[in-house]
Formats: sequence, C-alpha cells, structure tokens
Amino acid sequence: MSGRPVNPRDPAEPGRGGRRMDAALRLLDHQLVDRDGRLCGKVDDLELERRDDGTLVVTAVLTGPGALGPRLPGVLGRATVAVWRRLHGDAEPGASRIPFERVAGIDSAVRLTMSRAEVPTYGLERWARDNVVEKLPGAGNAPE
Amino acid sequence: MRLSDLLGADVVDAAGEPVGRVTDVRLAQTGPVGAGVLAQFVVESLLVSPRHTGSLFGYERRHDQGPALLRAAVRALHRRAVMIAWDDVDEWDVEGRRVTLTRDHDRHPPEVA
Amino acid sequence: MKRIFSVALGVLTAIGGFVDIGDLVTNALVGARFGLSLAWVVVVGVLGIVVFAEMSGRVAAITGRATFDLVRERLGPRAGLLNLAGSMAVTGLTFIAEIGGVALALELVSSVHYLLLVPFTGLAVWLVLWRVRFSTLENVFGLLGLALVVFGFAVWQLGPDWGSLLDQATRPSVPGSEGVPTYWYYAVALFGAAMTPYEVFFFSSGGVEEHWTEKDLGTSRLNVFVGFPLGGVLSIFIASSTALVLLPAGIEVDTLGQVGLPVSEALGRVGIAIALLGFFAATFGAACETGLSVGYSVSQYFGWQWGKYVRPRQAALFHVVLLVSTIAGVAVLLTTVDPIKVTEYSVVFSAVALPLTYFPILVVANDPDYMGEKVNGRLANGLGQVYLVLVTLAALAAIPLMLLTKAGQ
Repeated sequence: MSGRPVNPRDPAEPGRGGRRMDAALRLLDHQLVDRDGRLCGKVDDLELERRDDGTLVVTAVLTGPGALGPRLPGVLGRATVAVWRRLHGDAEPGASRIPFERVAGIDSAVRLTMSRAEVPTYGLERWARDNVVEKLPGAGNAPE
Repeated sequence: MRLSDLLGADVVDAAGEPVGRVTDVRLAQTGPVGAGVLAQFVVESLLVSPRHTGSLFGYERRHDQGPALLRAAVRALHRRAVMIAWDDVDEWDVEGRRVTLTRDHDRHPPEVA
Repeated sequence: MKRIFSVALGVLTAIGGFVDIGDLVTNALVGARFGLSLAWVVVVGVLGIVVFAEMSGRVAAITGRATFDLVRERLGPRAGLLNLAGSMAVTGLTFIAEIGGVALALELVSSVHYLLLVPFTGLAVWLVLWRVRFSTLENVFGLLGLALVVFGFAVWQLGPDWGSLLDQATRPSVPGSEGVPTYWYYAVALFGAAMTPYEVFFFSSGGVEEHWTEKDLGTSRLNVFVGFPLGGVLSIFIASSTALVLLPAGIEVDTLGQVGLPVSEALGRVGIAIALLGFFAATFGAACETGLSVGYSVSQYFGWQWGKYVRPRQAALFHVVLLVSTIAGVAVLLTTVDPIKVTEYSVVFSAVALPLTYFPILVVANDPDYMGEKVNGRLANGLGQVYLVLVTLAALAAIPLMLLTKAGQ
C-alpha cells in the first residue's frame, strides 16, 4: 500500500550491494514504518561511527526530541532538548536509538524489522493511548 | 557523532582555504549481508557547495529532472558544487564543524548516485 | 452509483476550499459589491488547485506519502516547522470558524443564539472525527454540501440579463464605488482561499486513508477534475445570486443569513430550506476537513501514526491533537470573537504556508526515484511553475493589501 519501491535502480531488497544514496535527500527526515506498517516517527538524525580503518559507518537511526532538538534553531532547539531531558530522567539520555541492523528496507520511507512498541519514543504514544484515548468510549472499535 | 554534525560543516583544503559547506553525504552499501537485513552503509563521499543556502533537492544528481526552471535555478545557485571522496578527508573536527581535506584531494563533478 | 461516491473525496475537499463559512460570506459579499468582476479569480484558483491536487494525489497513490511528509523531507525540519506553524494557524483558525459556522447555520434554523449552540457543534464535530468512518464522512458531507447548487437554480429563476452577467465576468472592471486596492485585496483573498494548503493536506491524506495505489490514479484524477471545478461553480453561483439581488439594492453582506437572501427571494421557503441544508453540510464538512488537516499536519511532521483508517487507540497522539483542537476551538468561540472575521485574518498566515507547501509537491512529483514513470509531464510542470510563482506573489501581497485596505473595508 504505502511507499512501494519504484525505481528499479534502487531495489529495496536486503543485501543488495553497491547501492548508493544521498543521506540528507533519501534518509534524513523520512518516515519510519514498523514491521506491521505502522508509522513510528521520523529519521531525525543518523548515528555515525568511525572504524579503525578510517571508514565512517552509519550505525543507527536516531529519532525523537533528543535527535530533532539539536537540529532546530536557537531557543526552540535548546528548549526541546531540555524538555526531553526532564521527561527522561537520565542524566544524559541522548536520542532514541534504532540500530541500523533493524532497518529492513528503504524506499520513500525507512522500514524497520521491529514493532513500533520497541522504538524508544513510543512512550509518548503509549502515554496518550493509556491516559486519554482509552478513557474515551469507542477507542478500540475500528472506525473501518 | 551524527550526520547532522557533518551536514553544514565547513570544508577547507590543506592550506585552510574554504571549499564550501557539506550539503549532503553520499552513502554506499557495503559489508556483510544478513537475512532480511540491509547491508551496512558507509560514508563514501561528500557533496560540497560554496553556496550557503541548503539543499540541492536532488537536482545535482540528474540532468533531466523537471521542472525546467527549478532545475536551472538550483543548478545555477550551486554550479560550483563538487563531490569529494571521504578518503580525501584528512581531518573532521566534529565540535568545530570543520572538515579539512588532504593536500592531493580530487574534486569531482556531482553525479548520479 | 458507486461511481458517484468515488468522487466524494474531491467534492468534500472542494467544499472545504470553496464554500466553507469564510467563502460563503466572502463570495456573497464579493457578488454584492463587485458583481461578477472577480469571477475570473475563481477560475484561475480552480485551475491552480486542480494542478497541485492532482500532483499530491498522484504522489499519495504511488508512494503512500501525504503532502506534509513531503514538506518535512524536502525542506528539512526548520522550514518544515515554519510551514507547520503557518499552516496550523490558517487551518486551525479556519477550523474554529467552521465550528462557529455550523452553529450559525443551526441558528438560522432554530433561532437559538449561535453561542449557545457552539459547545454542541464542537462536540458533534469531534464525535464525527472520533468515530465516523472516513468514507461515510466524505459521502455524507460531500453530497449534502452539493445542496448549495440551489443557488444556481435561484440565479436561473431570477431571470437575469445573461449578456450583462457574462460581460461583467469576461470584461472585469472595478466598480465605481470600490477602490482598486480593495479589488485586489479580494482577488488575493479569493485566490488564497481557492488554493489553501489544507486542501492538499486533506486530499492527499484522504487518498492514503482510502488506500490508493497506482491503479487508483484514475480515481484520484476524477476526484480532482470533478470536485474542484464543482466547488468553483458553486462559488460563482453564490456570487451571481447576490450580484443580482443585493448589488442593485446596495445591501452589503456580513452575516450568513444575508447570504441566503437571494434564494429566498427567487425560490421561497423550499429554496431557503435547501440552502440551509447546504450551509449546514458545507460548514460541517469543512470543519471535518480542517480539523483532520490539523491532525494530519502535526502527525506528519513528527511521524506519528495518523488517520481514521486505524482504530483510535492505534493513532493516539493524532486523536489527542483532534480533541485538543476542538476544545480550544470551542473555547475561542465562546470568547464571542466573530467566526467570520477569524477566517479573514487567517489569510495572513497563508503567506508563509502557500509557497512552502507547493514547492515540495512540485519537486517530489518530478522525482523519478519516487514516481517512476509517473513523473510530471510538460503540462503539469508548465502550469505548476506558473502557479508556484503566482502563489508566491499572492503570499507576498496578502499582508500589505490587508493593511492597506483594512481587510477590505
């Protein structure tokens, strides 16, 4: 249904070597979709790690206010990061991290092998579900 | 280190002369293959443009992507954009947002990925 | 029969874009003050929204990405946030106005003061957004909103001098009693209303709600080519009817009741009853469209699960946004602010939202990695570029004209 791979030169099948993509154009700020097709955030940043041979590897997708905050300008950005820290409790919570091995495919969206409940930022959605939506009548009934 | 640390970083040559800013990072898929999993992505090259205004919206990659006026405008603004291999990077000062190139680096025209 | 319903999305989107509460009053006002000399703006606006809605529907069908996804991915989080702020202001203010508009329509029927009705209309709108199936929503309000075609019958019944009407429309000139800047203020306002961003947010998200795929490209196009022209035609009917009845009498329009005067004169009680049904359905439909669009935009910026195609508990943040917006809307209305004035001021925020919305759509509709062979052809690109320039000009002109003419006085 959504985000079917279109360009035959960019196959989404796993394991296909030699594929190239521009990170800011094709990965950053794109939709994350879980294994059941549910939307679970955006690629707010990517984590890079330097290997001993000097290569720079993409090791994780970063999502949530901890990742988006630093990319927003000035006061807004700092406020976002501050609120995230406050909510999270840890001293240095960083961003929500999805190891890059959990990425199943990339087309217009980035598809994950995990369920969205396993994405760390799902906490906010879960809170909204348990504290607001579930309290209203008819929340579980399919409108469809 | 994050991608956003690299994007927008100043790029200078070995003598300290400015080359431009990183507008995009080209990744290449390499590494071992797992079942149901994408092979690993590494940083292969940087798209560097002397222009400070952001993205090229992908127009540097193709010669025929429409609409014509938009493509012409973007390419004109970024006409001196170049691709530089990650191997030609001598040093990346993450905190200072500065990438220094090697003495003998090559500058390639931007190309289709 | 199914064919008729398959264009419901396009019709409903157009209703929210062309005959919502703000437009009902503005079109009537424009007819009463300028006759049909601004009809050409509606035509230009219809063409523009057809071009971009077709693109956004095509992108949604091929990639499953609704328009605000494209805004963030192509413009980045900062420009995306700027657009979100601007378009939420427009869409949010319009949503508030529509809740008020439904209450105003019911006031005409019940003679209960509209402020007493506002909490109930807010609740009714929220309940529909919460529980009613998307397809039911589009079919019911899309088709009932077409009751406004009664204005066309009223024009017919009034037996006008067709030649002179046509002349006004095709050889526009500023009437003696009006200033040139005021003429252009209304031209920009009508154009901005025809191309309001929430139309493409709603249309593209609606396409995803309906699970459009590549095989539905024909349906998407049918929706666009039927829905928006129909919306434009309804606007012109309303303006024509007030041009015939109110302009000669020098009556100005500022309430919903006055919008209906020509129908009651031409067609009596039956006509007015149908017009009232049309007012109710159009404002309620527009309330659903704008309310959902607020939810769609915010959710699509942050990446939250959105939509009525999943159970509410699976799109919790989306529904929280809808609930909070409705409560806030009712609260604002209860401060007795005039809902119709609210829409006039919302056009200011379009200045930011219009170009930042249409630019990403045009870029993505041309991207072969996304669209494969279904990239824009020359016609779509030619018109797309022209309209991108037009919306940018309109966006730049909106605020100065508003200040200069004191919002069209």
